[in-house]
Amino acid sequence: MSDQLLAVRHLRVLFPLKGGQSVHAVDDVSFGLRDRESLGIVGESGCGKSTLARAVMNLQALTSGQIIWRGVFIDTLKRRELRDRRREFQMIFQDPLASLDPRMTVAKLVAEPLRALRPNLRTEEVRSMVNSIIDRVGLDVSALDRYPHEFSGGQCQRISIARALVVEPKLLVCDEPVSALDVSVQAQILNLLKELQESCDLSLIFISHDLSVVRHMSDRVMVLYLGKIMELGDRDRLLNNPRHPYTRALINSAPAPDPNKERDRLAPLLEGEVPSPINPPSGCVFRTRCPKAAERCAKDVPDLRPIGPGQNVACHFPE
Amino acid sequence: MAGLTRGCAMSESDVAVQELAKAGGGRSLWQDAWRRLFRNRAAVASMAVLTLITLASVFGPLLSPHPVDKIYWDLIGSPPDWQNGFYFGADANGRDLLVRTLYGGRISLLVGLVATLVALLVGVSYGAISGYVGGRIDNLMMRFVDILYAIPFMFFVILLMVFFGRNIILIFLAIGGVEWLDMARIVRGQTLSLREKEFVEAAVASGVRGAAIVRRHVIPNTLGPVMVYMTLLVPKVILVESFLSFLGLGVQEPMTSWGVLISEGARQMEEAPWMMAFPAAILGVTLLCLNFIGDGLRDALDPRDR
Ligand code: SF4
Repeated sequence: MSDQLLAVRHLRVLFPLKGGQSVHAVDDVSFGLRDRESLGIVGESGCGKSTLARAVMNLQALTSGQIIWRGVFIDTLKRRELRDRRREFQMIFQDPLASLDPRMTVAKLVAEPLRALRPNLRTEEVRSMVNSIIDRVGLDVSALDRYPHEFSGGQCQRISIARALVVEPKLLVCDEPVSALDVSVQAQILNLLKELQESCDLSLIFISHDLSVVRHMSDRVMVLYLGKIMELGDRDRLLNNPRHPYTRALINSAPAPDPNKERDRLAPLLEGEVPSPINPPSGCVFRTRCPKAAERCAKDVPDLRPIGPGQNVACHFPE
Repeated sequence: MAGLTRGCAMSESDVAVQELAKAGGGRSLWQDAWRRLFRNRAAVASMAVLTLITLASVFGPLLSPHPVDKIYWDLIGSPPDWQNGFYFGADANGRDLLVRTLYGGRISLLVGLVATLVALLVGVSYGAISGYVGGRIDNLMMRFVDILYAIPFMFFVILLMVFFGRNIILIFLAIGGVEWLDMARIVRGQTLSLREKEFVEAAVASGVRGAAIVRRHVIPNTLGPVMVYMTLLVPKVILVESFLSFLGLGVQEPMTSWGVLISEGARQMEEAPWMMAFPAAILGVTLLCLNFIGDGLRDALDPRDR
């Protein structure tokens, strides 16, 4: 277990509403992440992917559960200690332009995490690190003097990546990093991320609603539905031999596996609406849309349990 | 896959690359804003005019042959006359109106400057902190503002007078100390919406401290509305001062201000229109200039607007 980087245990994030109810954004999610591993998280919009990412990044208070980062419970750290740890995990966001302050030059934007997390660096050191990372994400140094709005979406995402990687983190959380980009640019950014993952020994948590993107990027895949893990397993096993009815439906609705050619969004192939996360169905949350739902599914919550080597599924009647 | 061959440790990249970046790597928002401001013709012209008015107010009275409080008995209420050197005419007490207008400019410009700066500093930081911290502290801070709103301004000024005696600087501070309330509300509102922006979250995720986020990300992004409000605030402050003076709580004879001159002139508008016209015209020009400068600054501070 020495190469275990991150362990998430029974993570739960509820957003309380007026009147005593609450939105179940993430409900009892547990998983681990090894060094240099990339975990893809896939699910329809509103399934709690982003909340999960923000919770892992400690941007979101947990209702309950634990996040253990290299043996340390980071969810209970003091603010100062947490900031010291932030060097090791960074994040890139969905909307590349919105995640860059419009009033800062690229040089300042990329230097900002360094200045915040490594205040002892000298100005020249910061400058050379910024230059080097800008080069590595495929931008020209002439970009440094310009403002975010002068760049395309793909270039902005490169700036964000530079910002995240300049502090040399161990984990990069990517929240839908390409879904706001043009199809032609998506592949470039994905390949850049893959390349950087190799050369920088990064672990990735890669969130997308797009199964083909997740297939391209991940070693393991987690399927989320209404804040719960439906299936979690090695990429090939899970995608070639899905055992959960929901995973199966997702795969059927996303035919082309090649992200370079086609962007295949999850068509709402499943019947019915996603139930409200305020009042999730009893028992198995998927039962309202599951073709195999039986009486037991309404009563008992299916646990996530191993069903084969490197594959876990939360279903009473796996395929 | 050229990147694979390089390690991730930040190696020293080409010297040439570094030289290139040295040329402009340190550009800041303000430096850029200045450059853009100087490309705005209306703003540059306004700055020139305003500088002229300021210089004239500061040095004019020293150069004028007529002392500010000298009474020319035979010239009481006389109109502008280029022959005898009373270019603006004389006021109702027979004093040279030109030198009095310039003299009044000192007070009016100073009160505009000091009070607005006080309002700006206090209002912006108070509003930004309140909005960014949010929750119960925000609630407390804003209720405090509400309470201050409820205290009548005159009562506040009179109270200050009683404690500290009559002091012109005190008046400026008092005005600034009241006018920051609006500023704080405006900035807080802006901050509340900025706080939800992704770039603020991105800054938190990259480990930037709260104080630095407020300073670097929140405040610069509120500057647009702040600039607009500031250009409205300066005239307001100048007028408040004249109101105070009118009540005998502001500047006292023989000192004067534009506001005082205008209100004195207004009483004689029918017989001697110049008594109001000259100070009013200068005040008007000043405010116009401030408006252009404020507009120019707002545009200059927004890099998206070229
Ligand atoms: S537990 Fe029942 S309802 Fe849920 S996925 Fe399995 S079969 Fe369908």
